[in-house]
Amino acid sequence: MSGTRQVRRWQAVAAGALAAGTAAAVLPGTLAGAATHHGFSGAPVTEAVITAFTGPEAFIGGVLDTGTYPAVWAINKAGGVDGHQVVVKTVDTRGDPADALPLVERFLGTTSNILGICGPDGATANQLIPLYNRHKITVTSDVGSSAFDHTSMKWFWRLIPPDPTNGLAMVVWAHDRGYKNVALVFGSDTTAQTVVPGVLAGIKHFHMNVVSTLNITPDQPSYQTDAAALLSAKPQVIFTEEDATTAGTFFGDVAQLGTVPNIIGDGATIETQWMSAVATAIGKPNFAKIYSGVTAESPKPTAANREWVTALNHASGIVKPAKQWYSEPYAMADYDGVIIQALAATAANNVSPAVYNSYIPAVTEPGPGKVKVYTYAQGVKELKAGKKIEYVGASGVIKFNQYHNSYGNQVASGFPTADPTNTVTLKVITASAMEAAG
Amino acid sequence: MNLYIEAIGFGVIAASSIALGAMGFTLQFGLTNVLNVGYGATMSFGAIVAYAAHLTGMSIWLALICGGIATSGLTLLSAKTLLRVYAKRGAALFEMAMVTFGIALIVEYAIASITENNTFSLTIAIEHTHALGPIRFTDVQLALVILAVVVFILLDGFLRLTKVGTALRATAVDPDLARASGIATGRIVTIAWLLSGFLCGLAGGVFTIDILTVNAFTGDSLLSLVIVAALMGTAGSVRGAALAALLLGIATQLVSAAGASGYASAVAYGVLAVVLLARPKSVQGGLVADRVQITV
Repeated sequence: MSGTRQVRRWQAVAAGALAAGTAAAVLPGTLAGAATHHGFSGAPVTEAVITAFTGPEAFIGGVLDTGTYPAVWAINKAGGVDGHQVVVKTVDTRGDPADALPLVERFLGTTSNILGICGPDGATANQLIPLYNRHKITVTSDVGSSAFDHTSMKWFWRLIPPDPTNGLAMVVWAHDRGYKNVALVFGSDTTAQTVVPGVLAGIKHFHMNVVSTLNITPDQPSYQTDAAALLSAKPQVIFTEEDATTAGTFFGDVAQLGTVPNIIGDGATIETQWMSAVATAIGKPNFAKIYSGVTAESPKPTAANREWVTALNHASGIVKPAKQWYSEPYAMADYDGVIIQALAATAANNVSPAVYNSYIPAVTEPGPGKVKVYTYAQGVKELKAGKKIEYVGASGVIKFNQYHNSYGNQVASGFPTADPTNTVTLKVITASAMEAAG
Repeated sequence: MNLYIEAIGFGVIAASSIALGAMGFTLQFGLTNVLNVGYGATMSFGAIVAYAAHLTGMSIWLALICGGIATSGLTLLSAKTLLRVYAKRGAALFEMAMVTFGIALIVEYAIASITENNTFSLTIAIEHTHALGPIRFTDVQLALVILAVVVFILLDGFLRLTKVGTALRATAVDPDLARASGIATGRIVTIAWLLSGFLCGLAGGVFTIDILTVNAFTGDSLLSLVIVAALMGTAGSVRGAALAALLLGIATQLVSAAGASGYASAVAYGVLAVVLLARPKSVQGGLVADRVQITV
């Protein structure tokens, strides 16, 4: 009898705990919904960096952090957004949609004061961006997938040209160098493959010959047979993107078997770990001679760049030394994205993305009577004075098209010391040249 | 056709690290019945230690030994602490596999944290490239293959010709009978952990020299092939593991030569499936048929 009563007592306690747990899980989500419509008066607001911080695409997390923390530093230094200080919170998607979705759903359900999101990585973009759109949360992104070239998702804003544009620019550059026989070596993962449609479009346009196509699976124990097959096809140039570890192993295998052909890498290869892995594998002098990387053109030096460098040097939360990021186009674009969110919120007098999102073109589009501003503080000052502004960012002029994409020129660069900060501009590939080729 | 012949040569090179790992794995599994799915993490540990030792100016071959010794210590430590605790509480095959998985996560993320999740590149000068018909290999690759063969011969000789080796095999077949026959099985199991840990670390280091890069998760790339080779060769059989590693190394490279490198690891599992259909008892090794006896 006593045993039965004890069991019932435990059942009651368990039921109570379950109810409390359910309430705790549900309430923050409810509050989040409420806050979305009331602008979270006075409380700090959150800039969320939701991307891969671990796994094969972990480097993306470092880049997004480097964009976000300096932007938040600049915003808070200027008094925050409409009186709200901004804090950064990160969510690791691990580059895996299956892991990312429940983690992000939980984050959105338990975080009540989101100003906006910076992210995601290429592997989870197809799942996460529609999710943010459903939640009406602004996301500024550097994701490369061409799935977002003609998107109708209102809360998505991309500040970097899509990867196929980068792929097209790689081929324009190869054509300029007179290469006809080309090889494609791309990782089989989603992120690496996003460049390929642009590469193929350019190859078709210039009537080049694809002598070898390798989709290499990351983290295989050996690529020696693939490397032998590549060399036997005798390409003049290799178009490539894969993660640093795979690249180091693959090109090391190629170097062991013969002479490594010219390499044209996309924007993702202009990165310390990738360059270090490949330069070590094939030798630094050889790397300097045969490798060129194509990426979005860095803007002309403006007050925005000076503010970017200052913010980089003062912000915590980024991988030091800050100097390595000074001309990193993706980090600059991510920085601009956060500044744009904050300026739009200031223009709307409301930090809720559901409200301020439609103000983004108002703070970026050029127009008659608009004042060009280069920093967040300048933008706030002009907005408070009742002026209309056009924000020109660290990444240059930002002009969103009807699909919320902002494009620009690309540049082919050489790297004499296999260091992404020490570049030599080889050719500027204009947006019009790419349009003609695509 | 030349590419297929070349692939066989590459397969032999790839087999060197698979064989070292598989010999350690089969020794460990055959003797203790612990299905160590954290073996990949331990290989990563060995690889990182070897890399760090090499950075101090040590020759790469001595650094390999350092990696092996350090991994040997780590393996024994985890066996005598965490694994022992769970074994004493009656954990069986599946539960122990989960414990090793947990240990793997701790080891890998600890390394990732210390190394800031970086991938490091190894520089080894290639002095000569040799050709045997269409098959090409460098000095270093040749040295790795020779190392694997020498380790195999020494280990096989040790197991067959020495008293300790005989005791190891006897304990693997029936620990109770071995104990009743006067074998100090506790000491023998300790030797098995140390030896398998050393081979595991050595495999990680050799793999790193082969692929020229290393990070916290390097060993995971090799894990599936190591396990498949160990099971294909019959759990507990060093000769079987070495032969299976050679077959797998060649098979995966031939698949790549056929233009399907993405399926190389899948083919390994396909081969295992065929072997299991033909010889379903090959994975049992020293296991007691009705209940797995964990010996930690």
